Amino acid sequence: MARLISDPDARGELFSAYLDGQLAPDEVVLVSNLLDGDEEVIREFRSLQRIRRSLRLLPEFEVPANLLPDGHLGDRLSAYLDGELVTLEHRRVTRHVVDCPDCRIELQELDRARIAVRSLPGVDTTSTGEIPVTPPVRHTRRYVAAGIGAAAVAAALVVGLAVGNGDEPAFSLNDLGTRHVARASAEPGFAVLPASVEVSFP
Amino acid sequence: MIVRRMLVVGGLAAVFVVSAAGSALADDLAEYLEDARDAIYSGERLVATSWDGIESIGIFEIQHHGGMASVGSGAGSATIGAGRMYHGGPQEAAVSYVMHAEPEVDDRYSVERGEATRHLGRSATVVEVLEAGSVRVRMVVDDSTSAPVATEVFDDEGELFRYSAMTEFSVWVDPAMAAFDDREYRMMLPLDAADLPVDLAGYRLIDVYAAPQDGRQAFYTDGLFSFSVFTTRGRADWAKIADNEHSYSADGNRYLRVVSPTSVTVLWNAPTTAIALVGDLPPDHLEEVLGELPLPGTDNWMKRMWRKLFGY
Repeated sequence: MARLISDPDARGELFSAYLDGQLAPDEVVLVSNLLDGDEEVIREFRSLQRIRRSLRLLPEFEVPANLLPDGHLGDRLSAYLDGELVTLEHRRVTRHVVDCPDCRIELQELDRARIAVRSLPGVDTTSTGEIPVTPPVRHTRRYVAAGIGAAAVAAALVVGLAVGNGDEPAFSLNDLGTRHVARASAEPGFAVLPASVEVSFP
Repeated sequence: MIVRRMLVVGGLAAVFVVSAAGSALADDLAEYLEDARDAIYSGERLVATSWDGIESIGIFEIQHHGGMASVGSGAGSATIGAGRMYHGGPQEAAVSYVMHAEPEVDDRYSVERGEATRHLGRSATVVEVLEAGSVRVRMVVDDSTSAPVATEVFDDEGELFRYSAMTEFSVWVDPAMAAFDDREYRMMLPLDAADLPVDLAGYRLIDVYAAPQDGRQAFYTDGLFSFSVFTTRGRADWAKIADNEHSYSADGNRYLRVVSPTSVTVLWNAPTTAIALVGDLPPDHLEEVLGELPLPGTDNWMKRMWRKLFGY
């Protein structure tokens, strides 16, 4: 089968493009035929896979702290959250975030702000082009509302103590499954049974 | 293209060294798992779990490339890998964890390469993962792609409880699988502290994240199996949340359990904490882990009132 492409360099290039997902369907068929049972070719392919993996795992040089603004990541945290960093830089930032509490806190604040902005209601500006303004609430109403709220809290406390069942956290099994599967997928053992998502389908 | 050619030439030079030193198949479990993660294939996978008479079977369309798996079934589809997961379809939940794992398999496992075999007409090799001298996992590894085309997982008594096999297999994958998606993810960032043990029955605590209801997700693995423990203060009415749960008893304690083809979810309330465990661990491992976590139970009314009034 190796005689399909006798030049090892050409085979290597084809395999490399295959691993990068850059082949056209007919070229994938060619790779499929090449990998169909010829031990020598399979060995070449597997070795190329291992070399690429070894390259991925090569130790990386830390960016000297004096090259970072204040020794921290600054604007790159935002790019990190937006998924704009390339693989190597992504890993470098990840490692820095794991080791640096200041950057981790800043990243969490950025993430919270992003989520808050995303959850803002949309504003319909099609009719007048003006942003609707909520009328101010009179203070007397606020006092009445606060009084009602306090009474409700007191009543709830009394009822809660009487019933004694405590809080009832609202969990979703789908959500828990998604979180676990996502985290587990970073581990090599996940590859043995990668289809463990059925509990997570919404 | 120049970079690729350099990689290929450099790679082929190293191929000579690597191939001269070893065979086409790996010699240790971590390497098998890494190979499996890098495998490129597509097809249909049947997964079945049988546990105390509860049976759960699933059939999935799967495409696997670049450490990412695109998995679809009648219930929906999802893309998973490298610490990320998102659902296809209108709900489009997406979550991303920042940790990058390196293979570190617990030394309770050893691996034995078995006989050559065939699966779906393709050359394959049987690989057995042993624990305390007994087979824990038997894998059939496709020789050309290193994909685990069939997997059996056994309990400590040698009983098969989970089985998975490709029923259709191809090295063709959709080229779009290799592209990095540009979806927005909810980023999960590791937290500093956890109230849970760093070791649970041989499983190591790797990292801890925020979870729903101001709770925590603690992720444990032994390199082969893994689980997450979700905890939050208070009590949950788990029976309302799970619709196919079964009562489960471990060491005299009562839990609720949801069995799916490739995972198990165990739910219970400890005196001050609602706990959910989600993972793929075998039954005997699960029982040992549960024995080291807070046990099911309730406070008496005096303690409950005290906690409500003073918060501890």
